[in-house]
Amino acid sequence: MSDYLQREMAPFGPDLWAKIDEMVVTVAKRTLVARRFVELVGPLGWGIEMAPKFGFATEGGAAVASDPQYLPLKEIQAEFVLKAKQLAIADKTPFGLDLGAVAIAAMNLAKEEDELIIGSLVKQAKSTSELGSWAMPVDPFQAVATATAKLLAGGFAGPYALVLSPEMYARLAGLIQQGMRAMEMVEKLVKGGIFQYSGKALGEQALVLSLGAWNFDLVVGQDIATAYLGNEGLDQKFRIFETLALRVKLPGAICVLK
Amino acid sequence: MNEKVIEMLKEDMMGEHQAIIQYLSHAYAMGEVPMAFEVEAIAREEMRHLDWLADAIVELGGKPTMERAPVDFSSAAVEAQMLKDVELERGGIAQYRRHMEAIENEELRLLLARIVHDEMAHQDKFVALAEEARQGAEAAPEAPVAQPAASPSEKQKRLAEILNQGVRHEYTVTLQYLFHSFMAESKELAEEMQNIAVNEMQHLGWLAEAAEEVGAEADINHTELVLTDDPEEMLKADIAVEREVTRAYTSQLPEIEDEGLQTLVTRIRDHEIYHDAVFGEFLEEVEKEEKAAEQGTEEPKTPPPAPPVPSVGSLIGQE
Repeated sequence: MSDYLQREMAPFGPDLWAKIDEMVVTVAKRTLVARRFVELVGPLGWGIEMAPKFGFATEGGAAVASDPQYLPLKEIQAEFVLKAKQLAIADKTPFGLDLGAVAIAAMNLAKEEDELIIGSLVKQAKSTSELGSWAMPVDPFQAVATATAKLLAGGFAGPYALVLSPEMYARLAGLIQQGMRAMEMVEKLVKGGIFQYSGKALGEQALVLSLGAWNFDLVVGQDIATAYLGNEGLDQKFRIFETLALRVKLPGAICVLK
Repeated sequence: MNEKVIEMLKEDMMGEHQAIIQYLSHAYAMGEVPMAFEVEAIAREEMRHLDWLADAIVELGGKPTMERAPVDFSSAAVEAQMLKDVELERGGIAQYRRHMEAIENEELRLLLARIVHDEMAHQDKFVALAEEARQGAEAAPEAPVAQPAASPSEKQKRLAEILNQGVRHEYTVTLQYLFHSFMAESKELAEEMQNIAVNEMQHLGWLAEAAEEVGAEADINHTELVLTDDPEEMLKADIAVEREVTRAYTSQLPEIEDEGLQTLVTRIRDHEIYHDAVFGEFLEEVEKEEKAAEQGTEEPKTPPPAPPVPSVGSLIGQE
């Protein structure tokens, strides 16, 4: 890890840094949603500030890229504090350091990343389809099938992914017809997976996406990492941060179910 | 000797295929009346015969045929159509009897005897249906002199063409999937193919009846069939045909004004999307198996060294 994370200035050694890193990575991996279906480019390093994004069109029968547009990588962050008392207990007793604050910060950062990505996907989607009430067992299948048909008609083949709120996920899991769960039927349509997302960006809508880096991808400059900010009195302050940009190249690959 | 037997069984398959289509076209033309359901039930029994004959051919090392003997699609009063079906059964029974005499294999003779038994029952049923139709026609009030029908508008012609495109597609895939079910070595794949073929046959019926309702004759002919016994090739062909028809139905939906028909085509289209997904799952399995078989001969790869700094990275494929 380079110096810019100022780790050597912290009043503890590599063992504790390893525990903080492990906690951050574990919580991020458990919490992040969009990285499970959006392909990732990178991590390219903190020094990367812009990512080229090409548009595509057909000219004279040939598909060609337009001039690139440069997207700035956005930095997002979450901070945590380790109290002097915590560090003292960890140092002088057999209890070890409680990393709850690290976990909460990592979770907050992961939620912000998802909000950014899923919000952009919703905003840039070119296609919409009817969500319906999902009151009857056949409703979810019909809604998703209509969306995938729309995507396919636009030339966007599968695998598809479905992103929906936990409430809708629960509804999907609960509907049963003739011994078959609505979930199982829908799973056959969305081989890329069904993902629950609880943030505001989606609300009561759902997303059906044609997966592939040529449709959209996530450029990561600095991947999620923890830096030491310095002390606040006797307490120690840290920042978990990352830099990223979502590139939606073909917005037709995204369908919002409203 | 097997070749001769296979040829005879193929001839029987062609006869069953011809009967299925003839009976279905007669049933579709009747509309939703009890007699149509009885005729459709007989067609379903003929499908079972087709399946048994195909299995017997595969067991003998042959490939089933998806060709059919020429079908009489001419229209006539119901009684006359039922009498045509009586004749078809009569011809079929005679053919099976000839084949039974020529085939020595006891098991096959038993199979053909079982089919003949069914065909005789069908023949009697068609005689009864012809009589019922005759009595019905006599009891019916004199029909007014038919006025020449107004020529269909461009919209009606287009609707009939859309429905008939669907009929041709559904017939094509029914045959293709049946053939694939006969040839599939995996029992699971064979069963799924057959289930989907039955579902496509159902679509064929819905669309054919709809075509008849709008005054068109259902065009029960097929386009090109992909008849392969290679599981990867068959699944790829089946996925391709499902996607093509999904696109076709989706693009045709805005042209259909009748709400009921629109719902019907949407429902069929959604089934096709489901079939595409089911075939996709099977294809993934087949490709994985092939890859595993290829890798089995390679040296095991050493795992890459663990990254020195923990990173979240991509989570694709992670639960």
